[in-house]
Amino acid sequence: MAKEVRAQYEPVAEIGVGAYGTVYKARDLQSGKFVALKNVRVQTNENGLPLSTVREVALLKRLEHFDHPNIVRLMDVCATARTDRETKVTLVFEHVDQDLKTYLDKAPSPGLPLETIKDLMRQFLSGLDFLHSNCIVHRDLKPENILVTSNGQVKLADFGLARMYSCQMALTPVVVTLWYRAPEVLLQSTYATPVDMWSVGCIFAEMFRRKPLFSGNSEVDQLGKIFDMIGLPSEEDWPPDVTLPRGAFCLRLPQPVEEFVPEIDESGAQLLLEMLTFNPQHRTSAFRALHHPFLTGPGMTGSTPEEHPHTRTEDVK
Amino acid sequence: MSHVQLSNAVWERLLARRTFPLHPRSSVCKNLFGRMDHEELRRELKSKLWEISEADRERWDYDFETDTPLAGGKLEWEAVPGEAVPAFYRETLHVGSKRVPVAMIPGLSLDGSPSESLHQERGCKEGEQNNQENRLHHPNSGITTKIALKRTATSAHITDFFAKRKRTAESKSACGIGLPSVSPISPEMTPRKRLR
Repeated sequence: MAKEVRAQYEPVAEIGVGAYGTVYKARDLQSGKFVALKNVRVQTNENGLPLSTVREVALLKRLEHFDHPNIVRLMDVCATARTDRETKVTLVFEHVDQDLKTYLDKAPSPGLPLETIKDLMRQFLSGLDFLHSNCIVHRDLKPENILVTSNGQVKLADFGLARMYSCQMALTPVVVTLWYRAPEVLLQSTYATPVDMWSVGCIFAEMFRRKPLFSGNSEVDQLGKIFDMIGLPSEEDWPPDVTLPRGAFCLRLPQPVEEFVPEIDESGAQLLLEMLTFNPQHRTSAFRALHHPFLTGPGMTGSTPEEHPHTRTEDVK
Repeated sequence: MSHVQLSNAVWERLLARRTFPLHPRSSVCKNLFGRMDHEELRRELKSKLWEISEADRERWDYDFETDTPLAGGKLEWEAVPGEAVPAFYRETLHVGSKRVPVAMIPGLSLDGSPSESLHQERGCKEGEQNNQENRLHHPNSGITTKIALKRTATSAHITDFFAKRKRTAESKSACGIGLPSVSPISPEMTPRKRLR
């Protein structure tokens, strides 16, 4: 009850204060480029900054060396101790005007042209392939975390929770926003890079629809909405180590993609289904998706998916 | 034992190695560089940190300590409301490995006592009914907020970290060896369980 009262009063408190605080941005008078400061307040203990934060900063700095075009630039990291219990880490990022969410909201009525979607997807997947080949699972891909510059350049952002992963490790749950969460995350099974590909599928569909594909309000509801489209998975695809049985869901057959994403073409629908594959082992990867006919096929205005020289570090190893 | 004869050379060797029990052993460490002056070390560290922050300040024409831009440099600063920039740039709070936008926690104060909202949150923890309700209201954002609120309330205690580690280890091993873990999805369980 108290919750509801608070929710009711929240807008009043927001007046004049700014619900989301203040963000400082600056223009470099020499280069004309914009930077923005992201403040991260970190709770410290008697040993200072938690190791996880130090690792996250190191990871961001390491990635920066590759200068990937589809990753947001991090120019500097400045830390100041505020109190014994809190340190403020200020990340100096390049400033990008909008994220994919606002970009989609602003898109005029018939929606994004097919070529624009293909271009956005190629860049998005190229950035993600870079992360994955560096053994990083983003784990929280959503339109708010994908920046789009005024020239239409896609830049992945927000690796606050992105972590190095190891194959044997069961990552902690509740990292991906519900609507973009992969089934294995919802079911609390083990997971790795394929979770990001599920999110890519949801975002891909959203580029056509301009509204979320599966907007469930609980894990079970989210799974239900997913199965409404892809059908109830087979018994052998159902992860063996989860407590929620397949039998908890009623039998449903896969529905045509066009019913959920009417604007999509046949090749796009095929790619979408490869991303929205229930079994993570059979789900497509960022690298494979980049070579899908939908993104490489004829009638494309842009160039073929070019690989960034440093994209695939695994080749170098 | 007393009949054992030791030559002078052996004596000397033993003495040099200090293996001979001339006196009871103590946990002595070699002191190669003299006594450590903790006060001096602290002063040095402080001045180094000051140097770093001064360099940051000059590089960006910005006082990171007080969060104020400095005029007259090569950068032209502007304060914009958080709503005007992508959510990614907004201030966040890290508690453990969790992260939450600061603006979502009304009246949050890390140093002071928990705010009213925190007390409300604690109240909510008692009944899962409330939790469910809350989640339905904010399916997308309420989840992370709850994590931070809960953590914030207890973050100062070292025991919190112990408890956290223990839980992490439990959940890891449960998933790792494929043992069936308690389903957090079943409606009888409080969703809070999984949010740690």
